[in-house]
Amino acid sequence: MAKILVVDDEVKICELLQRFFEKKGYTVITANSGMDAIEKVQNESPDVMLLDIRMPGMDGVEVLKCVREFNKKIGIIMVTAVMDEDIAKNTMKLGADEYITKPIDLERLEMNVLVDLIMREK
Amino acid sequence: MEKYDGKENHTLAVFLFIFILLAAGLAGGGYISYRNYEKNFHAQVGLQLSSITKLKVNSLMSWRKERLAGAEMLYKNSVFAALVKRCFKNPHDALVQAMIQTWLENYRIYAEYERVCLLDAEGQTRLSSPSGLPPISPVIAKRIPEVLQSKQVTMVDFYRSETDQHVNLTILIPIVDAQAGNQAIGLVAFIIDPQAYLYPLIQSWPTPSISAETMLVRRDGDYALFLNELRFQPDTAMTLRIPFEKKEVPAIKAALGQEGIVEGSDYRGVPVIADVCAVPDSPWFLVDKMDTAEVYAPLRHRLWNTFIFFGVLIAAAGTGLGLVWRQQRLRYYRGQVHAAEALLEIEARYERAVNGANDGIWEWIMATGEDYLSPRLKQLLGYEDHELPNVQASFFDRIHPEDQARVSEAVRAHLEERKPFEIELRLQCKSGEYRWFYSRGQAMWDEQGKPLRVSGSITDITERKQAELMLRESNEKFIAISVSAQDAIIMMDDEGNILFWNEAAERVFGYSRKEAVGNRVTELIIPHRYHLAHIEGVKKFKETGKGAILGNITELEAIRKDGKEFPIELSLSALTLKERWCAVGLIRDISKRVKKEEELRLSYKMASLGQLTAGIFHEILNPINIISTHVQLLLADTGKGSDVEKDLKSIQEEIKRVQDITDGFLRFSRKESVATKEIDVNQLLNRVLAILVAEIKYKNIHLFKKFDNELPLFKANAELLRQVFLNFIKNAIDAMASGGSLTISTLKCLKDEKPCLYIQFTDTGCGIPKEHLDKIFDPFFTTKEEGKGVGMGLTIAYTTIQNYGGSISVSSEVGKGSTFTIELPLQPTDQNKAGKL
Repeated sequence: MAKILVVDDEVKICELLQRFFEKKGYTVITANSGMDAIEKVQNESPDVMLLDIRMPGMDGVEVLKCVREFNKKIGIIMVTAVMDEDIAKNTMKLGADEYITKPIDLERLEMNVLVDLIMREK
Repeated sequence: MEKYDGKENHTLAVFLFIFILLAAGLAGGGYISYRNYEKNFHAQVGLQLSSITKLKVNSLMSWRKERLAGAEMLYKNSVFAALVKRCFKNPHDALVQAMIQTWLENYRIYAEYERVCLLDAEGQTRLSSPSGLPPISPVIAKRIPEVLQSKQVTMVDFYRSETDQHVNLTILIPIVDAQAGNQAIGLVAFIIDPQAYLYPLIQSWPTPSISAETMLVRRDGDYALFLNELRFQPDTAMTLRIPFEKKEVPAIKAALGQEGIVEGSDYRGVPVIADVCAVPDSPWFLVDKMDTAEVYAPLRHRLWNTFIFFGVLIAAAGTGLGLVWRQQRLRYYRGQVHAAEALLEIEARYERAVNGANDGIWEWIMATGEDYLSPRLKQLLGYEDHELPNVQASFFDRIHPEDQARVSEAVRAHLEERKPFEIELRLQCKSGEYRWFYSRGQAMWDEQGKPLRVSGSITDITERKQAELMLRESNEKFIAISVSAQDAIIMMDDEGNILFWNEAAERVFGYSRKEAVGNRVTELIIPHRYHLAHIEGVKKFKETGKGAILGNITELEAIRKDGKEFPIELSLSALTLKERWCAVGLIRDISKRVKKEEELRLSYKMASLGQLTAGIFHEILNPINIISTHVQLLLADTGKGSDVEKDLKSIQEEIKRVQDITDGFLRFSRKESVATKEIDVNQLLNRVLAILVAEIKYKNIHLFKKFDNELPLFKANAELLRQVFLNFIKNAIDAMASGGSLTISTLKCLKDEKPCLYIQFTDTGCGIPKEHLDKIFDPFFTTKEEGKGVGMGLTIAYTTIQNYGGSISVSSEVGKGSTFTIELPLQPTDQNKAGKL
């Protein structure tokens, strides 16, 4: 089954999304900071990454740029507030596959993950 | 006489002896003070140099230590060794290459190396950061076998690369494969550019100096080799060598193992003072040096200062003694002079008696033609008695050309008409300047009425005249200032009566000077509420000349002639006139400024509101996200149709509502266009009313709808517009706590030839007080009780309608009700659609 990396500085969100996806049968790993996320992408090669844009320290956009430099394969879905929708739209040009806004609609999120996985298979 | 001279010679000798003693003491003191200073100065220079050297040696040591520690870490990194092994095995594995490249890059950026390369056992460059594969310098290549053999991290000291002529240092780190019997499979080279950190560190000097510099040298056979660029000679790094025989050069002293402060001459042959020492754990020797000339400049300066200071002291002592000596001699002579002075005094008294009064006397005797000018008169004109002949012309020729006609006329009038002769005139003095004189005279006539003689006097009145002139000028200046002033200038006496009222005051207050002067300020320009305070103030002012607002700039209100109040800036000061206190006020009409400030305040409030809401709602969003996710997870586990599911669904709806509100606010603060569609305004109003219908009935409010059925569609964001309508209707309901009627009407019409939508809300509620009318659209302005509203409703409505190019107007009367009218211009597309409809 596919492996998902959830990146959010809110530990609770990471736990909840982990619960949700594990129930659906995915393997889920989490990261609470940008540096942590990059290391996990390098070492654990997940298939899809959910990446929060607003994080203290290294933010989602920086993580996205860094990961895309050495990994073109992984699917990346950005998570953002309505406020930052412009930034989110820009991340699509930097190599993100999709973005969703908070509060997260779990069904829509799973759909996006599935689409991403299918596209990667091809 | 002879006896006296002997005594004089004796005192002179005593004075000379005292002087020599004093001078010797002072000179000795100066010498000792200078010696002390010199000693301290030497110690200080040594201390300063050696502390700089110590600092630099420590920095160099820690720099080396850090570089080697970094290299050691890589040396012991088995993960990296494994990656390198894989890379050498499969030269085409791009992923491994990318990972090693990242490692190299990180090392390079972290320690600011010029280049970091991975070399194989043959010394070929395999990977490099920055990318590109330049061949390694032969100096390094020569050292590779030795490093591979020893498997030790090795620092290759300063060398000049044959390929690009750059000076570099390099750290070579053998990569050891632990699995294959600790065999070295390759190396990593950290190539260091000393320009980046090392040279600036060496060359830095903590204080400004014109000659100070630091040199780093190492032994090279029987030579000292300079490792860095020097201040006074270009291209010295790795090229300048000085043989050991030149023992006077501090660099050689250092290379031969000497330490501490030394003096000698440097590579230029200039005398210098230097601190030399070896850098521990390295082949380097450090030399900090300054030109002796620069170091000792303050000392020479001090020498001069000391010299001058004590020179002046000795001179002063000599002068003092000389003065005392002279004083003694004077005392003797004074006795002799006394008698002569008494004689002179008698002569002066006689002189004064002759001169008589201060006035100068003149006399013309017509019969004999004898004229007379008194010596005092001549003196008043600056002449000695003998310098001016006793003739009329001496007087008349000196009259100022402008005064001559007047004087002739006065003389004629006196002689013929016997009018008294009294005149002010200017006479030219010996120096050429004219002075003012007052002259009066009296003629004597014979029986036929022919004048026999005229005599009179003159008095110098120049000073009085000048004072008069200055007074007139200052008066004219004051009038000019008060007329041209933009600010009203008002003066009042100690009872509050107006004494002065300038042109600007007429403009500002509308009262003419005639109307104002003599009246009380309280009656004209002070608002009624200030009267008591003013009367109190004036009472105190009359007694003490003091007042609360005296000497300050105060902002308050005043009344115009038409009865309107307006804001003023008043600066009041006190002065005394004819021994009574007066107050002078400068008054500026600041209506315009106050209005502008108010506008500025509002726009600032609006701008900061955007940032505030954005910040708050972003913080709210995270917990909402967590709650929402929890609910969704719970819903997935809950049976369909159960009560729990209903409750969860209800929570979800509320979350949605919070989300809509935050979205709305965030969009408001972003001022960005949002999704729009064609909206039927009537239908939207009905939907809003449907939510509130229960409350309307409960509050006993009659609702009248006057909708225009032909209303065209309007392109907008439905959610935003709904929010606007909701705000107006809810405000209307809140205004009618004890019932009333609410009329909502819509209308399409033309305004300035352009099609417009009108939406009007009229209530019969409590109304809005006049003083609140211009504030109701302000953010956070609310009259509702705490917890019932934050005062944002009308602000959002205002901003939204404004974004669609529309406007909101309001009319209200307290106790009767309010009417809000929204006016929205239709876009061309809407109009077309309307046409089709």
